[in-house]
Amino acid sequence: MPTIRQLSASVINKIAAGEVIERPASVVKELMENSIDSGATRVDVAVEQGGLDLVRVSDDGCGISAEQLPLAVASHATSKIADADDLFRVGTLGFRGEALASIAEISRLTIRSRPHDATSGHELEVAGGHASPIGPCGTPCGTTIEIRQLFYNTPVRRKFQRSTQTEMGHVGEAFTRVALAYPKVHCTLKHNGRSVYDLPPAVDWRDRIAAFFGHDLAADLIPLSSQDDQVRLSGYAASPSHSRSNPRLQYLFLNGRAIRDRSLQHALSEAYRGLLLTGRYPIAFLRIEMPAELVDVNVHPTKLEVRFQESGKLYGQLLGTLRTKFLSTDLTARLQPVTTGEAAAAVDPQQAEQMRRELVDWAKGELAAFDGTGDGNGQREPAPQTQASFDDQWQRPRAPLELSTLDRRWQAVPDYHAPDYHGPASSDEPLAGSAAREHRVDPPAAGVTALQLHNRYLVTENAEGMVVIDQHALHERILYEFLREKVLAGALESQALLVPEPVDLSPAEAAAVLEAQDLLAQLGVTVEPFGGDTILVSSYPAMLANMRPAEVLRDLVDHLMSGGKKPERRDLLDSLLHMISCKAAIKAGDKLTPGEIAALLEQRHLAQDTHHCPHGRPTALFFSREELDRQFMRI
Amino acid sequence: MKVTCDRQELLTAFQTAASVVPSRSPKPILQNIKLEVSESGAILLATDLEIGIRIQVAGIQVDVPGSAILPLARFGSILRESSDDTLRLEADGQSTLVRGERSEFKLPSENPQEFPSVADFTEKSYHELPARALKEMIRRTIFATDNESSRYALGGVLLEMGSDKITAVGTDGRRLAKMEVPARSEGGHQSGDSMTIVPTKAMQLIDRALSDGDAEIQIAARANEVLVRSPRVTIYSRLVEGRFPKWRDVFPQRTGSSKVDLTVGPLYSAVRQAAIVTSEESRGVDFSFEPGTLVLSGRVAEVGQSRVELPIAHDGPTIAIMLDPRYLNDFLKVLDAEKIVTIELKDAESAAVCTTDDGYGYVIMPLARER
Repeated sequence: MPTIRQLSASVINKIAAGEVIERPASVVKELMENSIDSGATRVDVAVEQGGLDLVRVSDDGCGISAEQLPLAVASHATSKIADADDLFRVGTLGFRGEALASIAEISRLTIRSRPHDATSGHELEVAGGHASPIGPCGTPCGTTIEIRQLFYNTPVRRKFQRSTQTEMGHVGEAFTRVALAYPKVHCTLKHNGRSVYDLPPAVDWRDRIAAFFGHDLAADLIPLSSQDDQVRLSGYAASPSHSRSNPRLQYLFLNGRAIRDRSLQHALSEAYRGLLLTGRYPIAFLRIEMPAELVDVNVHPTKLEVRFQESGKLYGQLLGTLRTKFLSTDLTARLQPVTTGEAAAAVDPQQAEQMRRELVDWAKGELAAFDGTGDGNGQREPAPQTQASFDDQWQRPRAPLELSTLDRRWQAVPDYHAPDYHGPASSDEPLAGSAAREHRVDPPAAGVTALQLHNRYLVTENAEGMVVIDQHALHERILYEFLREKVLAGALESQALLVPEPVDLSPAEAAAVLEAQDLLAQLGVTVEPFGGDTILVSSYPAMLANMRPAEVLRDLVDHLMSGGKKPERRDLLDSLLHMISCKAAIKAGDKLTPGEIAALLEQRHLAQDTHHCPHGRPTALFFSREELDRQFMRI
Repeated sequence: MKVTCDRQELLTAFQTAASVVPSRSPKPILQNIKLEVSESGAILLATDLEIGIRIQVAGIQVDVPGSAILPLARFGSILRESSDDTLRLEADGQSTLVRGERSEFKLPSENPQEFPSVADFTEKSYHELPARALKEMIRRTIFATDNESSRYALGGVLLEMGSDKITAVGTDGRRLAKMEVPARSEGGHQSGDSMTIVPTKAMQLIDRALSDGDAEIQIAARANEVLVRSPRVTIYSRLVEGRFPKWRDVFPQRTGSSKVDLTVGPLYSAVRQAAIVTSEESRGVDFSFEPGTLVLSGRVAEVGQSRVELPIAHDGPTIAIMLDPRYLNDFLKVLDAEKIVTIELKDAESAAVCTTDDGYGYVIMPLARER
């Protein structure tokens, strides 16, 4: 009969270590968080062999005094909380007092530390949980912790470590999360003596994002911010021209701590619905600031997951903020410049774009002031027209040199959005305003023409360059918007069938359909089981008269089956509308008459989100005039 | 072949035959019409291999019998543009010579031997009915067919031939039209187990090729084809393959439902008015059969509302049902304005059944608004 024994503290710590310290990256995370909590302004991380041989984290934080050093590696000893009530208002990244003790148990650990007011530092070595006496040593202010031979006494765990490269990838990710959350802290990372990242303190968060993910991405970030009661949301979402096939580039920072939250990730995907292809995930860097008592971080050993008190409200805030922002932003896909231009060239279009957006906002303000209505008109993109008035100047024959000086002058004007701003050409203000108004009343801009290529693409120009439009995608989008408006306005009609139509499905599909019976009924699709995996469709939406009931059901099944979350009525309705608009839209390969082209382009301004078709493909590509100039070596 | 023909007569027959000629075909010879001349008369033949037609041409004077292949577009133009009363045709198998009084055309032609044969009516057993009745039957059922259906063979009109009548049924799964006409069976002709589903296109051709004046029409169904003969024209068609739904199970046979008699003209007018405010996405019109009045109301958010009243002879409880007015209009359109239709209703979820006293029945499945 097995006997019950009290485990030794060392075994307990080893077990605890298994939870907290999964791989070298966990060590990097815990130590960097300690450094941040100590108020460091600089954190240096050095690893060797993916962290299995060595992890060293040095900071210039508050340091640990000699008499406190033994406590630092004792388990459940921490400076961050004092009693249980503190658990509800944790303001630091750590609080359990487990990390160092756990690490010390499974590695050879050295701490050298010197508080700012001390004249010399002290050193403590721990090997497999056995501490040697504290001795004095020379060290700069702050703390340096070295972890050598991680997992040396836990062979099982050691065996499960992957290649150096994989482990280094995880270390890099852990480093990224902390360094992204604290842009004002100087962070460096070295691997095998080679510098991987050296990130000076950044004033603008974009700079730090750019350091990690490149300037291309950073230039296409859309700034967000919103405040709701005690919750402040800020950060950036990338324009839909950037996306990834996984959600890993969605960084959420809750009070400076990187977290994963499924509901917030869902809110992101929801906001990008229709802007991204299926299977692509948006990119975002978001900070959420909220009082510590509104969130419980004590639910996960590595604190990667947290529990919000009002998660629904947060979801709504994120979604709302993103949607509002997207509606007011021109998301037409920009062609990636072929040549990766010099830094200066890369900054120019970005700033011009920034200027343009500000200008749009200003023009909207004018518009709203004129007819006394709010954002409703703002969505109608008065920008191109306003821009056109400036563009008139651009199009006058001038030397390219002069154009670029004009460009510079724009940047020089800092307060272009101030109320008394009169535009580059100072007499333009009334003209710009009236152009915007005209645009609203009479959207078909005079003489909109386009060239049709290969019976599938339309080439036209706007104020800033050349636009290549996918005729099918654009028409589909317009139809979809049009239909959606109509359908949302009224009730759905359902046409009963004389002869119910049996549809054969796979067992899983049939089960999903029957489970969603009520939901489908709301859409006007009545289904009944018909034995086996056959489903009987006895009525379906009247507006889909041109489609086979079986086809309609199969499409809906795809939606019911995809994704872990149960789709809502809106999702399914959307998918039906996509089907209709896709079928009804002109196809790639259809020859269009000039009249048809003009009509299509005119309608473009009537719909929202015309920059992407309902499936999320871009409807148009934009080649800026400047890029063209550069390609032809004119500048 | 050498003949003199009446241009007008030939043109009429030629145009009827032309509607069979396929616009695209892997067999180029099918894009022609064949003229066969024997001592006894002349016939035009055209086929796309699915449907074939043989038309007798009147007013032909035969000098030398034979046959000619006439290119559809060119020869048709000659017939239309010429102002001569008669034209002389000569063909030698390689070219066709067309001679008017002051004009002459020489058209290269394909070998008449290569033109596929077009089935003739040789049946001994058949059904016989007046042309007028057959045309009426086609007009009243053809609009309900559906060429898109994949599960059922709805792309044609089902013909059920009994001992003393023919029943025609067309449906698209949402409404069903059924017409019964008396017909005489000759030689024990009846449609058997296999279904006689005549393609919509063939039915249109039969309707067009026959004239009300034509007397008795013979119609014979074989396993996978149907033949129709009038004194002038013989039409052959392959049948639609597939299953037709069991329409008798669908056609409601109920008791205890309310019946309302209405005159076609006023009803048609009222439905058309109510349908003004419907749209492609929201097509329903509410029919409310109240004591003494039928109220039709349509309502679409961005289009508007309508309300049309019609006095009716109904004194039972109020019955409301929502129908697609286009389905009802299809039915009313093929009826005379003075005709009386009986609309039979049970409730908002059950089909509406319209009948006339001459064997015509029409079932419409109702619409339902989102619950």
